[in-house]
Amino acid sequence: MNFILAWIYKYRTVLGGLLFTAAAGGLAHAAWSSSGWNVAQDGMLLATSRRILEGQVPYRDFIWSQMPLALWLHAPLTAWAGDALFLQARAIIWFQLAALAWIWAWMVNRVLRRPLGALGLPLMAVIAFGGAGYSFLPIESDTVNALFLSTLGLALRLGAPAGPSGSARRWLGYSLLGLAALCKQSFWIFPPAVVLALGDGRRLSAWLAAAWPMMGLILYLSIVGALYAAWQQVFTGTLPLVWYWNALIAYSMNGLYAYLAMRWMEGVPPLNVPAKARWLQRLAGAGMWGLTAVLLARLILYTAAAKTAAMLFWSLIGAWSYFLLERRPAARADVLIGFLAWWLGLAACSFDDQRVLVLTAGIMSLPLLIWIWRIAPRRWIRVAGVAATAAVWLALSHYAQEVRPDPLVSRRYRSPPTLDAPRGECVYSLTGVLAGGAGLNTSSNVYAVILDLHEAVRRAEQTGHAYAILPDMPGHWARSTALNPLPLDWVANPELSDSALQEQVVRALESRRGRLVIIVQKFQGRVLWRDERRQYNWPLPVAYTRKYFKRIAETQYFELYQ
Amino acid sequence: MPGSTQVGPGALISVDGGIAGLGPVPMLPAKQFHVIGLKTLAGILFVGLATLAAHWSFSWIGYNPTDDGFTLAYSRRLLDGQIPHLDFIIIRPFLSPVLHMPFVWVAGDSLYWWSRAFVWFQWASMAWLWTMTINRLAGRPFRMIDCALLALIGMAFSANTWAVMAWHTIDGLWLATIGVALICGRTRRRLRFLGYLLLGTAYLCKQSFFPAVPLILLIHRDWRDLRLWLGAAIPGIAYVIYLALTGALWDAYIQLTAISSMADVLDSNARGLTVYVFFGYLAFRLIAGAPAIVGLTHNPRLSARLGAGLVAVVAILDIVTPAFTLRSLYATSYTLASLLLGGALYFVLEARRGNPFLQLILMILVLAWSATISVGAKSPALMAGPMVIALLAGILPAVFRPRWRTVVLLILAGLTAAGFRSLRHEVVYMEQPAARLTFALDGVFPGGRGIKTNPNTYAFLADLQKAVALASGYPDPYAILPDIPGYWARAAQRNPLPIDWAKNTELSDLRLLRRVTDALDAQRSHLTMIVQKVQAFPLPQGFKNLGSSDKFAVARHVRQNFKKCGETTYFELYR
Repeated sequence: MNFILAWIYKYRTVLGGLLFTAAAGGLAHAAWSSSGWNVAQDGMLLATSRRILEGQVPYRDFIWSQMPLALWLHAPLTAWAGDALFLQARAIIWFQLAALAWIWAWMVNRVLRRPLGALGLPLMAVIAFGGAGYSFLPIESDTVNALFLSTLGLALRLGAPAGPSGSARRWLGYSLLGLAALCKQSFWIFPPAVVLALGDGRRLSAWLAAAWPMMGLILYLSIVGALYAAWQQVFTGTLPLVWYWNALIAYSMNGLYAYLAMRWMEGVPPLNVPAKARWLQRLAGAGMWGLTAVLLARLILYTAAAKTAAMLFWSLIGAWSYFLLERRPAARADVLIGFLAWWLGLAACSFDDQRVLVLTAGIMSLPLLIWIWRIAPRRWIRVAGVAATAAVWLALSHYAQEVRPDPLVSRRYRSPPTLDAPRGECVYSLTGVLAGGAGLNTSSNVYAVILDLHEAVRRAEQTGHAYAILPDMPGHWARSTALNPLPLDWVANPELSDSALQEQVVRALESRRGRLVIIVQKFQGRVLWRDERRQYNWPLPVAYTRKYFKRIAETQYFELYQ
Repeated sequence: MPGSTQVGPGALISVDGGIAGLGPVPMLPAKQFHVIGLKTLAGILFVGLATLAAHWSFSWIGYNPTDDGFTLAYSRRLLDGQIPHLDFIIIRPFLSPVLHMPFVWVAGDSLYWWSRAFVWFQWASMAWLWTMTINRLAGRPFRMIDCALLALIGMAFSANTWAVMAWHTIDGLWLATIGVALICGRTRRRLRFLGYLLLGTAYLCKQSFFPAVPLILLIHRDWRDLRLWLGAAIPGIAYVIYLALTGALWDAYIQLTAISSMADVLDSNARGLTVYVFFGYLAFRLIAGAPAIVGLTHNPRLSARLGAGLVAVVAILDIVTPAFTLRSLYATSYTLASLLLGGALYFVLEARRGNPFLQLILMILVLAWSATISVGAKSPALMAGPMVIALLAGILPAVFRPRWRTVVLLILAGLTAAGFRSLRHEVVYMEQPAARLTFALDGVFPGGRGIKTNPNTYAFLADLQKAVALASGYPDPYAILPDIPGYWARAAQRNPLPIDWAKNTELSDLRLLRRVTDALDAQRSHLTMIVQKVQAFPLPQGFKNLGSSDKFAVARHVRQNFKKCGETTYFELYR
């Protein structure tokens, strides 16, 4: 008995993590996974993963603008999940997010030396999980996989003992960081930064461990003759860095506010204003954080979740700058954990979809909340403060699940996380309607479109030819009986930002002229849930099809061209 | 000898300039006089040469019949003896049209050509005055050659891609600049009084400069001096008295308050200011070395270089590259404002009070902000020149010795001039690139001799002549709606309507709109209305239908309530 208790005590963190992952992930899955379906993005990764199962080689046989590892990681699921494919994919995401939250909470707790005591670890895990989960679109994504692998690798490295006994864990940790970079190219910046930040810059083994996955991939692509195509496709979505910076810089003034707030609260070095009185400066600092909280609350309630995350991102950088500029080396631990958190946020950013920054919102808020509440004189007040802040945040996020117009900015609506109608309106079951969609519910608009797609497909199949769908509906191909004859499942601008790739799709259409029916949608997939009929800048293949192919039939939501 | 100084061989004069038997005649020491004389000469030379060079190089480029010339049209009304606000609608105070009256009076058919020369003169003189003021308050770190180079950079940054046209914001900034030059670092109260008087005239060009007056009084610590308040208030008081005497007070009130919402402006300001404020703060702190940043305590030179490097990185990313990638400074001038605001923040938070350089930065920012209060151009781009000069004055002396400063400024001036030339040719205000502007307005547009435009605008304006000829077939006067206000500056006939540019920006208040439509209705059957079929803004790109949106409410009113009596390719005639 004592042996068992000792074993449990020894592995309490891991066991706690498993318990938390199962409980939090399971609860979130039960509560939210069944709700919502978006015809534009949902299922894209799984559909492309199916191509791997069919023996296709990424970049050579199909267009893929991301790194390919996530395709291989999802291949087993696509093969074995059956008709509840999408539901099970969502479950995996929730479990990944829950595990991520626990691991980050453990890392923050360890690096900052248990700032919140015994309750700290579970409390921080709830915050990290809730911050991401409440606003995240629960679809399979390369970002989630990259975050998961990076976090696992980072935890292994941080937990590795110094000296030779920790070399295996260090090697494994950096290898995982290197593998994460094979899920999404923005994660290339993460492993070198971690190697340098953790003082392993002079260890050749660390660099080798982080680099071998990339070298392996390059070797594989060279052997299968896909290297040049990979280069073209992966870098085509990489817009200029200046553009990236300009997109990221929104809400960056919060960096300055956070820095000043920390200066006022900590009082070192002292500032001239508002007055030399210490209490007044603390009040100014607390007031500035209070104002930031109010602005954040407004963003959570009425605008996109990405903006909330962007504001947190810059607030973290600002507060971290305080420790970097004014308190180093005494605050080395704060500098390290703050850096790892915001750098991970930066790595998670996307060129085309800023919402993915939300995934790290909870993680980024951990050091921030600890730094803010550290001003409290007693530990119980700190714990209560962090818990209360988190409770308000999560309550607001929960309240914001309902779509409401912004009272200050007319005609601006907050999108639901699923990009489908709010949960209460998702009452139409996709079981038996969408292949792989068993267990999912959606809104009346999406349901009607998917039913209409069946009719369009039926008419296309009557011609005796293969069919393709433009530009959305990538999820259709994940479990459909037919294979997608085009080299791309989601023919939309984020995946086709380069004209050469657009022309490649057009060439594919032309090469199958007479043997292919092209189903072209009449609506805009992303905003289908709110039935918006705004002008849409259709991608080139859609415009080309409409202009140079002959329309042979149409249904309510689709046109058929041959 | 106490109280005296020796200037020149054997000369002895008292410091107050008094000469025995002649009373207190103000005189300057010969050396000081020599320096001032040199400065004045250099100033005249710079302003003259820069004006001439810019005028000859760029003034011929482009014309768009929207806002270009509407100030000159107002000037013409003043010359015709009309009373502003009462006889015609002007939603800004009317000092700007007064300033440009001489050109309308004497320039003849080359009105736009000469008017543009004056705008270049304004930009050149502003650049020079700001350079000298900044140099004086920064402790004179720059030599005369450096000042000339700085002024060149400043002029290019301010002018950037801005349309060269008589414009109330430029006039306001010009008068305010002269005012600030007289205020800053001056001990003589008369000069400061004159400075505030000129600052007071700035808000008579555009009311957005009104908040700048008390703010500058506060910033320069002159707020206790009632006479200086009076100096700043005199122009406003005179304006009100004039309005009261002419019976235009109520009309002026309606017109000057027609656009009063600040929400959009503050929103633009908030969006424009970014983390670069933090960078500016850090840069100035690193340069000053106090309070020292951890790790740099014992290395002030490295600290200063890091500060300068920080600004250089931002500048390369966001300020210098636009010139070479053919983007205007309209948005990125906020980066300059952010950096400078960061510098001000540093002085406020960390440094001792009463720093003259801080006062200067704050004044520049106040004027830049005043310029952003606008319906169509919520950007501090027109103050980009002073902002960049102040940044350079704050940074270069800390990291470069005087000789290297000149070299660096020479390189920067060369790059700026090259970028400026390319920008002005490629990004022309509501026009095609300069190479495609091959149609001269001589004889086609009154006052337009020497200006060239694109084929579309030319065809549009040539067609206007046909429409005018058609309208002249009737015995009554004609009006043009909704654009082409610049036509009235030199037209043979006076504009019979109380507005020259009948668009939503000028008629945002319903009462003003009603006044114009009532004027139209009152002159029914005694007036021919020439109404555009196409919009003037997108002319360089093509011919886009005028439509019936609220932007063109007056034109819509005519189309709906009057009878069409003729048409040309781009115009319809109504009576």
